Amino acid sequence: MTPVAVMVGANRIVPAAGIIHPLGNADLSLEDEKALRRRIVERALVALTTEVTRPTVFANE
Amino acid sequence: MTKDARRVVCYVNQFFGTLGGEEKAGVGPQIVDGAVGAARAVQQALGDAGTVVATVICGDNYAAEQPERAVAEMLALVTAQRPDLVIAGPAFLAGRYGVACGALCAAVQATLQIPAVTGMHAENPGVDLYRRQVYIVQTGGEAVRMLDDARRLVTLGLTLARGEAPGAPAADGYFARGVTHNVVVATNAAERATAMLLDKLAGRPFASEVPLPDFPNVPAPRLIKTLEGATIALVTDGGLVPKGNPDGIEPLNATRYGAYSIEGKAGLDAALYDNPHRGYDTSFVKQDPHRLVPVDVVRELEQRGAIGKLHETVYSTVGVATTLAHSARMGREIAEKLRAAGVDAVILTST
Repeated sequence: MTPVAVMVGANRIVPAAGIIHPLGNADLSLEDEKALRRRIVERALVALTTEVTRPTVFANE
Repeated sequence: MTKDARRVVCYVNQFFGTLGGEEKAGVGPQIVDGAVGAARAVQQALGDAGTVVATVICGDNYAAEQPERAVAEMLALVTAQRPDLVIAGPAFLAGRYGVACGALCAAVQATLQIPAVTGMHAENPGVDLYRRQVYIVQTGGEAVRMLDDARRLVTLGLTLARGEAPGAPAADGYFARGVTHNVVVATNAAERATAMLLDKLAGRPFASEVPLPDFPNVPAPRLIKTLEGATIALVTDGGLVPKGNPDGIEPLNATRYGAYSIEGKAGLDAALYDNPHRGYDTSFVKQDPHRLVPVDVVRELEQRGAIGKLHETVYSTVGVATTLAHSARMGREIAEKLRAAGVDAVILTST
């Protein structure tokens, strides 16, 4: 859904793990799932501390 | 007055009511018999179809500085005249006047159940505030065509007073109210789309039948604190609610949101939460709400000192088929509450 977020003008956008579980993935072990969640949140924190002037996607490194 | 003639009450400001300029802008509402000032153009446009029985005049500052009181007082003056129709303005580009025209028309419609119309320039702030509730005829910026503008207000007003449906906004010259009407057309959608494409390819003018909402650019604020000193809130449009959905958040086209405490919680217990969202398969986030709202890892980041504080209230709504207007209102209300609570930044998780 990131193209929609860009289109409507959200300024800091972090791609997540999917519509049905943006911050998780039921196919992973609980431990791996939490690590995935932590990576997405930490990327959001990077986005929050980055100056932007237009809708910006902070994609997976 | 003929048998069918309508009783019309006009509202004008101190300037168009000939009381004076800015020095009279503090004057409270008063009523004068018959048509005064700009209302005389309305009477001329009405001809035999109606009579301006009275003109309400109110100073712009009085109306702008105490809007609720001013509207209530004007409404009382209007009500006493038992009108069939109220015509406010036109206000052109005058901001205080335009907002007052919109507010009075909205109040007249809601309270007296009679039609009310006003007119103003597209950039008058009254347009965006009241176009959804009130028929606002598009005028120029200045009063150079007062009689023409008055005729268009009167034509639309009389249509409404007869209980007839106005034409489309573009045809009848009023600002679109965001209302969709069914119409019967001779050609099907494929034919119309093809015709539009041919017009586009040939460089001819064409108009979409589905106007896209206009998303304004929102400047991106900077986080002025370091993360270690910042309070961060979690917000979601993915539909997290406590069991029983206490705020009755709608499963689609939501108009409400909830504020849910996570004070003292290391995480979200799935047994205590539910999800009414009807725009995606919610079974995975019901199984583990952290897949939607990451309280667990953000709490850990707080304990580690990576962020200053996790805000103890999570805001949640359902984002599916939600109108832009309701989304903007809910976003504004949530942002005001977060700011008042000293929150520095938000992570909004979306499905």
